[in-house]
Amino acid sequence: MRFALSLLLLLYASGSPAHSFGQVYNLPVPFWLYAWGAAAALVVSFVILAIFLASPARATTTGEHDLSHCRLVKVLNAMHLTRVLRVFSVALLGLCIVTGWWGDRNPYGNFNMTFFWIVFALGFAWFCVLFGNFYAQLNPWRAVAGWIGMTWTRYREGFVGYPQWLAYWPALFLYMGFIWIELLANNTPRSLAEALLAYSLLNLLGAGLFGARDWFRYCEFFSVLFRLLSSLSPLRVSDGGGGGFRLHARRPLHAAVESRFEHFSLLLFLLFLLSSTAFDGLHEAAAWYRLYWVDAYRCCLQHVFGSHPLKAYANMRETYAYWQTAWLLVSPLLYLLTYLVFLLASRCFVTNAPGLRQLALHFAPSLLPIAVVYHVSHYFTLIETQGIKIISLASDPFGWDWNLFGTANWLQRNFVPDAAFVWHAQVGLIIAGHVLSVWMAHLIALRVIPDRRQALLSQVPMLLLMVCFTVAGLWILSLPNMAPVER
Amino acid sequence: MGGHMPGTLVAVLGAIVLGVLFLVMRPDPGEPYHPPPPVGETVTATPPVPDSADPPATGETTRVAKSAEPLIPLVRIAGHQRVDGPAVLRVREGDRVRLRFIADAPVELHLHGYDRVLRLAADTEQLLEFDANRTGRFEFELHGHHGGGHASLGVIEVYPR
Repeated sequence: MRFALSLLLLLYASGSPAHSFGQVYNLPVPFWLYAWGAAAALVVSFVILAIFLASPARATTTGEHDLSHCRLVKVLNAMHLTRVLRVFSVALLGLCIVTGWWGDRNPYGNFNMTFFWIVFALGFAWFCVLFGNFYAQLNPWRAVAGWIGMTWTRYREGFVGYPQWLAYWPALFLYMGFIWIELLANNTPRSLAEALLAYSLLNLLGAGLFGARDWFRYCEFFSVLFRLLSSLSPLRVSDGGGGGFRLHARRPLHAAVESRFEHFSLLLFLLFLLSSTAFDGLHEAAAWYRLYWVDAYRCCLQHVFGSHPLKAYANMRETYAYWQTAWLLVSPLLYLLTYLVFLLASRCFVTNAPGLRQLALHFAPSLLPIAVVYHVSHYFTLIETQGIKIISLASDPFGWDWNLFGTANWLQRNFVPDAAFVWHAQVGLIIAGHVLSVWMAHLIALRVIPDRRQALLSQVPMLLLMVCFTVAGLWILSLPNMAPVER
Repeated sequence: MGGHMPGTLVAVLGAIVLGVLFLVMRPDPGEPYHPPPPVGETVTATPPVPDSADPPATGETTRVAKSAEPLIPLVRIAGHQRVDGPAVLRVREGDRVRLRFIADAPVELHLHGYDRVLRLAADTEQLLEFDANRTGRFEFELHGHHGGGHASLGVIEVYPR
């Protein structure tokens, strides 16, 4: 039996598809550091609680002030920065499609994989967390829709009004599709080009159908994602009229604290950001493989697929794809359930509390820092190992031995981040996100719950919820990965 | 301002507690590193200069140890797959990694991160040898099998000292 089980794992190894793009050299976080991180999460939570208990009540404001009269912003606007960058962003989208279609088939030799998966989907997302939602200004699909709308008024305004009941569900489902492709599909430059082309067509049709304003508010998932992320930022970017932009400075995190989520679907969207990152870490872990290929097989799948591993293998492999997809899609619901259970406990401390749904929407922004640090700690090494290759790929986007800017041979060696540094950075980031989340939840409680004592008491369950999410994130980082052979 | 004092005090106390806890929990740098226990069929190959007190963990390790050159693990490749030898080799930073390979057909082997390429002739043993001066988890794979595909053979894990 033991032989049969290892044979199944070995068989799976030989044909398993490539997972997400980019080389990751990370070792699992050692147990002692994981344990320290868990202890730290608990200690800092109570420190924050104590600080709030000790400090006098204060009204929170975003303290926003306009930076548009700042010299730098004026100069950039005089240079028509946003207009130029918008054209550039559309050109980059086109380049990703063209290089994927006709360029090198090797994912590492083609511009589009590194640019889209690393520079845009990771780097630009984190840029928006720090520097505000520049994506809204530079969104290539929105730019093209805008250009069409300039000459075609009907297209600009949309043919039908956006149905309110749809809310953010389209963005959520598109985001799920995106993550599914990232984690579970076999990605090649060509498949990325096809996906980008399909998504471009979808965006142009959708923007015409519902009007660009509503489509890019509710349906285009990058718009929704980057808007959520940038609500933490100390900068706010807005339209300045005449093609320019305005810049506002504000206290970081406070805009998110004051923004109640407007719909349940947006909460699920955020929870999916959290849960899909966790799933990505988990689905590479040895324990995860064993759960299906050994444990599930032993307890029930052998009765379905037969006890001969060679015969069972083909069917099991097919079912494994569904199994993974199902877990990915169900994962936000598990986080939602945990969130609601702890919120219910919070609610017990408050007389005349708002409904559970209202509370869930009010406290949702406090999960943002945890979601961001999950994301950064999982993927930041990819910037060093793969992101910087964009410098050489820019000179040779198709992989045809071009050297457009003379950088084609730059930074060719392997950059391997030091494992000890990665461990400490990962744990440090997760604890920092935890602190911010607990802090934000306190500010929200003081704003939403009128009685100060009740507001602070209600935060004890919330703080335990954050500890749960944080420890889960650390735990996933500490899981030993599956050796590639055994997949 | 008086209201701020207890808060600051608690924050300082918390920082001290965490600092002390970190120092207590952190393993001594001189101590040998204990990597996580092998999972499933994973084999922890004995490093080139092994701690003799460490008993072999699994049957497969014993088999490696019994082969012609007892201390250097041998990875046997047949049909573009690893059929024998360790799937995971765990060493510490600064160790000298030595790993022998033998394949039933001419293949090209690539070790990620260190960017080592080993060209194997059919049925001829070759030694991969290098100083583990980068920490992390590095896959070694076969190149150019199935028309450009890559077949993973195993990983070398280099733990920090």
